[in-house]
Amino acid sequence: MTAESHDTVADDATVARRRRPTSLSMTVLLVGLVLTGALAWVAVSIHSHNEDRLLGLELHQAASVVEAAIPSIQIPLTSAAELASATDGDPQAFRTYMTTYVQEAGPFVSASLWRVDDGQATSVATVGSSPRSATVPGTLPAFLLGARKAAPLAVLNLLDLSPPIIGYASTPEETSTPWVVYAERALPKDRKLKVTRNSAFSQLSYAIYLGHSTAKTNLLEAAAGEFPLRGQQAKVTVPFGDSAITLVATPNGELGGTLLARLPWIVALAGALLSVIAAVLTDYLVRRRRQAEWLASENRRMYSEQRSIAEVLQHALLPQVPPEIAGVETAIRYVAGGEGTDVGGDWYDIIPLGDTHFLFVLGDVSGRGVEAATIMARLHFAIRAYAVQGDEPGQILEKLGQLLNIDVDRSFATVLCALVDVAGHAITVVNAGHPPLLLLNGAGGDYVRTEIFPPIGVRGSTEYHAQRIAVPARATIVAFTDGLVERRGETIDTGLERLRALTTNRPPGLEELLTMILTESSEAGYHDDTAILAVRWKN
Amino acid sequence: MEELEMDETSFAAIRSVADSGDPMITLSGELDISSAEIFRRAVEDVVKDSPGRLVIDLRELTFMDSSGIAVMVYASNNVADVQLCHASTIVRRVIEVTGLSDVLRLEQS
Repeated sequence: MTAESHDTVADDATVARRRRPTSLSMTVLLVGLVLTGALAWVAVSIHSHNEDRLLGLELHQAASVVEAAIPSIQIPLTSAAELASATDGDPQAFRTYMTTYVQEAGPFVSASLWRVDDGQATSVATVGSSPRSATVPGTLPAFLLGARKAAPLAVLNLLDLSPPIIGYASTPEETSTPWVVYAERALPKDRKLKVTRNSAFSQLSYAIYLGHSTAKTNLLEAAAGEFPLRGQQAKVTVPFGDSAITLVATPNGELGGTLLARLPWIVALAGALLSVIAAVLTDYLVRRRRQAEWLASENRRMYSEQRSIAEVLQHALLPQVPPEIAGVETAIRYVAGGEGTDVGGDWYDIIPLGDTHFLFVLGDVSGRGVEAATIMARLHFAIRAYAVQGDEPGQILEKLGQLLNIDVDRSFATVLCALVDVAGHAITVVNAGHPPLLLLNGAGGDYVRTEIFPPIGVRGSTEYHAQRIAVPARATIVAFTDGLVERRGETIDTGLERLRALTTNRPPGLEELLTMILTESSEAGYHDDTAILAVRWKN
Repeated sequence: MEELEMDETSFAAIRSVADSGDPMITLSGELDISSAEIFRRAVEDVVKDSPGRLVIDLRELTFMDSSGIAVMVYASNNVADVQLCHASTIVRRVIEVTGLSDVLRLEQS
């Protein structure tokens, strides 16, 4: 692991613990709030549109009501005008007809029949009070003279009088007659009416004006909380004679109901709440994941550490260069298993004992990893101690048997241990469950068949008896672990025979011999740990 | 068939009862460092009941290295009588070459 990657690991750990929210969760929150805002805005738009639409509908309904009332003013006057034309201005006929319509309850307070010719208007008959318009000089004659043009109904705005008055003039259809019917209608002084229970008006605050302008002076009728009207408004104009009636209305409360009005708030609140929940959830998940990633990389790191510890142990234990021993040439090789596997339990050792003897050992602890490596270390150092004390191989293995117990250590070890008498051309060898020694002599080679004792650790006390084997001059002995000859799908004898056959055609040098053996073995497949040790007598 | 334990490669240790009434473990596939733990768990389960004899059928076992041998030795240390049946030549030779012929009794039956 490099220093950089270790820092990244530390950063992940800190993030997992930090209280500040992760950037992803902030993004989620932001997106959520933006979406909520958009939806709430849409809800507001919908609501506003709906209110406008409903207000327009209500107002048109109100306008229809007003329109329906107009004939009650217009028809009496146009009828009276026709009557005048038909009776040639008979005052009595006029009075009889108009009396019905000139009452305190309305529609008129005054009605009069006029004769208009040559720019002069002359009163013929009057019902009710005399025209108030006469109090404004010049107004009435001008109005009467212009009435024909404004047929069928002309409207005169006298709302600034007290009480306010509207004047109407109607002329017969027959244009050659001089008759004009004039009537006046009075409005209440304060021009405010109680809101009629007519459903068309109940949800609105409204103001009705005479004419097209909404100037206060033109106000006919208003039912409003506040005047002038404020806020959302709608306006509609209804033709009235030669003038018009303008209705302006503003809604009282929510026409579309309170739910639609509250909807934007509901959306905003729910949306904000959901955004916060989503952000918190995101934050939690991101932290958990970072924590898991941190744990995973910690595990990887610790595993690598463990493997390197085992490798260091092995390198420390296994001598890379064999000691110089007079009279013989020695060579050792160790090939670890493939990448990614734990270190195995193979080991070797060469221990010089004085000038004439040395001990060599080949061993294989079952299992892999740090456990196997530590057991191997235990045995390695024990053998050295016993050898230096002067124990011969059989005794060494018996003592080793006390140091390893498969029931406790879950491992056993195969060991080949030999005491070499250089000058005596002999070896005293004992084999505990290990592959046999290969003896190469002249052109041929064969295995040294000695009794195979159980491996170390299988049984508490086992007697190990070493055997003395004579070695010819310039012979070579090769000891190895089972990684060299064990292959799946074949018996071990096949592997042993293959090795033996290989060495019959061998290069002169000892190192070259081991290289050749290893090359051939790796080509045959199956990469397990392999240790090889070779001793060649120089003479 | 009482229990089936499978690992990703080809190893299996199937527990059952032999005709004699003794517990039996049938091994199949390759027994190496990665599958030895499965075998060991099966043996531990049997050892819990303290049987007098355990039968291990090796007919379908194609490979065994030291990790498998270690479990076999553990079994023979904790069950009074362990019979290894129908071992292939490969397996038989491994046991013999490792000097365990007296510890792990192989039988033909």
